[in-house]
Amino acid sequence: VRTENDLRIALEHRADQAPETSQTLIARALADQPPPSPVRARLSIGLAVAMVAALIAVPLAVRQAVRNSNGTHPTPAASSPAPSNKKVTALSWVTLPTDNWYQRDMYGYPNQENIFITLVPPAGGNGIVIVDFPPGGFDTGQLARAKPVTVDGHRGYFGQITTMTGPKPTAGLRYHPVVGPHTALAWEIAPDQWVVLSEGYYGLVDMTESQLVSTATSLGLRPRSTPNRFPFKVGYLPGSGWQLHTYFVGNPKYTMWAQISLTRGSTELLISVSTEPTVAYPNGLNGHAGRFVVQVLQREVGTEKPVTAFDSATLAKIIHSIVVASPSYQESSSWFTFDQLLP
Amino acid sequence: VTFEEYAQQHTRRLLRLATVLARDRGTAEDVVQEVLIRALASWPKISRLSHPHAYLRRMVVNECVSWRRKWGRVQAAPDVELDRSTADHGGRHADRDELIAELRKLAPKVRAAIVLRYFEGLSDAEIADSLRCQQSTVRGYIHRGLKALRIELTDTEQQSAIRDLAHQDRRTHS
Repeated sequence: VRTENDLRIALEHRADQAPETSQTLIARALADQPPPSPVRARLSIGLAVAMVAALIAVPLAVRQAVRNSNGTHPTPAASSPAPSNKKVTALSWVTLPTDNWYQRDMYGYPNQENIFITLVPPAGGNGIVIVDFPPGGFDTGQLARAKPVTVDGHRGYFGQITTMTGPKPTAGLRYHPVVGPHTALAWEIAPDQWVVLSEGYYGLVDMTESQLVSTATSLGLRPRSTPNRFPFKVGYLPGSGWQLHTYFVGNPKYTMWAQISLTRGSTELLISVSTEPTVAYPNGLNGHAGRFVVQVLQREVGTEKPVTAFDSATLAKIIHSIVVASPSYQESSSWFTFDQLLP
Repeated sequence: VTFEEYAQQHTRRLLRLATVLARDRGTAEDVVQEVLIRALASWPKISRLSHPHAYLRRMVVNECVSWRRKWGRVQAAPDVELDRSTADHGGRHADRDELIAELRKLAPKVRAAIVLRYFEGLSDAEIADSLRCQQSTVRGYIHRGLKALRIELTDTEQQSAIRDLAHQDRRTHS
């Protein structure tokens, strides 16, 4: 027989499981409340458009340590990006003309505060890639023959890039932010925050300075202080020490494919949630979450080779622990922050 | 009291309440985050209230009640149900988890009424104020909630009030 006291005890027990995030929530609330400013007003308009256009958050936390007095020949950086343990903070939204762009890829690297996005127009052909780097990670010296330009009122450089040093690739990532040699545009959207825009992987013909500047301006990137978000989270993982990467691809009107790649040693766990049917993978397990298809598979890092690190009961437990934000990924403000993605 | 002072003192409490009310801890965090951001925007007004915490508690409850409608989330399941080993819980521990699972299945306002009564210890009047409804509606919610959770009443005053409701309920259905 259950009594009222049993109920009180159960509720207290549940409350004891409250996350220890009070300080984080307070800090975020305070950070989200700057006094009204023209920038914020523009952000609000951008957000309104965003809800229609199903925006993707882009954290841009680039600290450009390299400065040059005349700006024409930026000094090469001494080292490659160092991973940062700071939590990802989305500082920008990308406002996209959805009628003109079909596909979006978004790669997130929570431990490195690094996101890059690929956009492809509906008719195919040249896409563009937008990249940001972890603090101190972008070297403007990578832009050869750099020429000072202005983008939406911000200083920037137009030049040619061969390889944008991106985050450390893993087997879960099908693409790398390597675009060169191509023309590219880098601009400082806010103090110490740099964005780089160049052609996508399929680009064959170099974009001109005016095309890049015009595209960059039309994207409507704005600084933003709310956290970056992802459409699902995982409540259970076997063991600890997993390295997290995320991947997202979608068209705002039709499809979504979101993936969490977890690597530990030579094992990679790939957890996907999509609106499209997913082919079964050897030693993997498929499932469902509402209208979404869920898949967990295990393979060797850096290859497609299936491995059996965990039995199907463990994979089922992982699937059972997945929570997908809905009703749709257009409502990206209902998604989970990166620090909520794993148990 | 400044917002920072209030937040330092009460955010943990709000998180605990949201954790009991919400489906999962992530949602609880989102709810409290949302409430703090909105409260900060109106803090000059809220801080003049005699009980700012009661106001924020109400915001948390309302946000939790409407959250599912706004941002319903779905839990995944494998296509093939596998043999799962059952954890070795003691009977009481297992029932506690089951009770919380059943609580989550209640209608949002019924769940909120139950939580405000048995977790926050509020009176009918205070719950009615939080949920913006009549006290009789609150008693109805609690009656329905306790019935669904198969809780046997031990509080005599509560018992008689709810017994009346149960009696009315039976008359309506007979």
